[in-house]
Amino acid sequence: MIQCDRCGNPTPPMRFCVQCGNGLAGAPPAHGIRSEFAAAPHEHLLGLHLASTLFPQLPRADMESFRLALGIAAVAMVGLAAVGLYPAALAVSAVAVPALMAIYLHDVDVYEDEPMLVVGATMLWGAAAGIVVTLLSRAAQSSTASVGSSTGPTDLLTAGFGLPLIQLALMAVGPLALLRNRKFNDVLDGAIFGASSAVSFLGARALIVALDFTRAGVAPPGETLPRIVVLLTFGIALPVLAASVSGAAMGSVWLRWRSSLRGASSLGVFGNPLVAGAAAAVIYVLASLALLVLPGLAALLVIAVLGAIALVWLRVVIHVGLLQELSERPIGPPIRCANCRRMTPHHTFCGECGVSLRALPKGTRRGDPRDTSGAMGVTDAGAAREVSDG
Amino acid sequence: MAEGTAPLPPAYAPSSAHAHGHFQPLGDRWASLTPMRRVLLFAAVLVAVVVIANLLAAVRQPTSPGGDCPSQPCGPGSNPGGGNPGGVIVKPGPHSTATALLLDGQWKSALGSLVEWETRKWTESARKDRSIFLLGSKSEFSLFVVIAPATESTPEALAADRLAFLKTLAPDLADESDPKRQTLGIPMIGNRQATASLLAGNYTKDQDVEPWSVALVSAGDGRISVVIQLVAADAVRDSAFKAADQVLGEFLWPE
Repeated sequence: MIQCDRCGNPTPPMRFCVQCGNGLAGAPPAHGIRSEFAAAPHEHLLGLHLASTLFPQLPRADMESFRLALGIAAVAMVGLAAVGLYPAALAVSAVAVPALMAIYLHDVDVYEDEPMLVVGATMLWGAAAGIVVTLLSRAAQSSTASVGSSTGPTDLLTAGFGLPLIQLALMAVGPLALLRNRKFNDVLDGAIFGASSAVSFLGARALIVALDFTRAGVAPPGETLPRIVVLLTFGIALPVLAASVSGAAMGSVWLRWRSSLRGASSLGVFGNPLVAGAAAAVIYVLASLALLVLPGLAALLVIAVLGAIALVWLRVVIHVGLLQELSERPIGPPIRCANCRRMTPHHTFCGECGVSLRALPKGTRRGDPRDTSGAMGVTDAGAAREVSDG
Repeated sequence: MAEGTAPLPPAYAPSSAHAHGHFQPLGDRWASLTPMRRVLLFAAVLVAVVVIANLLAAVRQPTSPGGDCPSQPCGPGSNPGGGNPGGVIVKPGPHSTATALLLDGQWKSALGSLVEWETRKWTESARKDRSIFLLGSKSEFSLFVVIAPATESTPEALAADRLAFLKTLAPDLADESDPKRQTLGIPMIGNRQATASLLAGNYTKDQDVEPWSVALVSAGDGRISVVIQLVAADAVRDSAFKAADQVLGEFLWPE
């Protein structure tokens, strides 16, 4: 055993400290927050990576399929719009990100044996709230009533500020209901619950729009390029932004009240859930105002920039949360890391690839074809000896 | 790195947080779907969504009634029946007493033109010296009338202004391409020939998208220029155009 320069705890002489994830082999001593993203150590903490941020518990090999799925969704939206099938393209834009999130929740078994509770409080709640808010707001204000004049102060107040704040608050209600359940004690849980609720909220809203649109026929007339801008805005940019701000805010809440560990000081003022909530509201309101007052492409660009900022924020929250899961328990027996598939002593981080072991699926797939060890348990004694002797 | 002397600690018991079921150490767990299955499942969901959306759209697609004159708009000389089956910009017939009694809403512009409407069909939303804004039933369509002295603006310029504004709300607004939805006959405002543009596009503001049908009808008499803008949710296009037809037909130019 050696002593880690950063955390000072004993760790086997491997590439990474199994207690704090600090790089050991040949890397210069690091101080402060490490720069590799704890859920995906091959990426920089501040890098713009959609899959590893929105789906942080996936092993590296599995992230590729989520990237591919997102790409398929984008191509489908653009392709359908190009051939004139706009209602179908809108429906795809409404369903794509929520469907990916649902697959992710199932895939990594976020439920902790309570699938109905988690799905109900996140995705179902988000969808129901999205439907109700959309129907109510549409009943209150018809689009055709807005064509007599430019956007006025009242429109800015209601559609630019009031409605987005209500939306954001409703997105948070379901995840906050899970805060009381002590089983969900990871910062990752809070972040994923917040993101799930947000994407299903916006997905339901977009689905109502798409359903409404089917009244215009299979291929209603209209220019293609503005439609593609709309699809990318409502299908990808806005859901990513909403998922990021909602996830980051919920992550801060979990960090403060559910994570059992060393406080949220690493996040500075953003570790305070009230400040995090206010920051989420500012970003979401700015995006809504952009939609209200800017032409389509400019609005998309503004939302993309805001979404990138929010994504990095969510990354930092997840990262800090994972680092703060440092526990004082002893180093455990060797296990096979689901991320790099090599053996590592069981603690907080993989000693070979540096991934946070909490940022991996909670479920178990028996007989995984990629597992060449023949055993999914902790019985690889030879490897255990290699690790301990190393 | 400082060499330590502590041996590798023995295995420890599972924490109570993971005591349900068999214990599985963190990190030794795998996603439940293989990458290929995950992508196939997602693709299947998208295909299902596309199929359902297209089926719904095909079922709900608005149909035009048959006959020589489609649902709208029909103009003089093109309507075998001589009546107006429901559209805009038709040449008005004689102003009957019965019609006059129904027209219980009125706005006289500062430039002398008169717009009349039935208050059971239209609700006045805003009026100024040179414009009036009417909302149709359930606010699913609206009519905006703008008047300007001919010395200040041409009908074409007024229409272009309205189109530019509407494009900020519906960026993909384009000429109506459906052959069943073209103007038949001569567009009119009151007793004067007008220019009409029929457009279709999608309102995209405030996280909302809604299909629109738009008519921009403009005319001038040398003293004033007029543009009348009708915006309707696509689903109520026919009834909106029919209601607008009456207002356009009853428009009175300054004497």
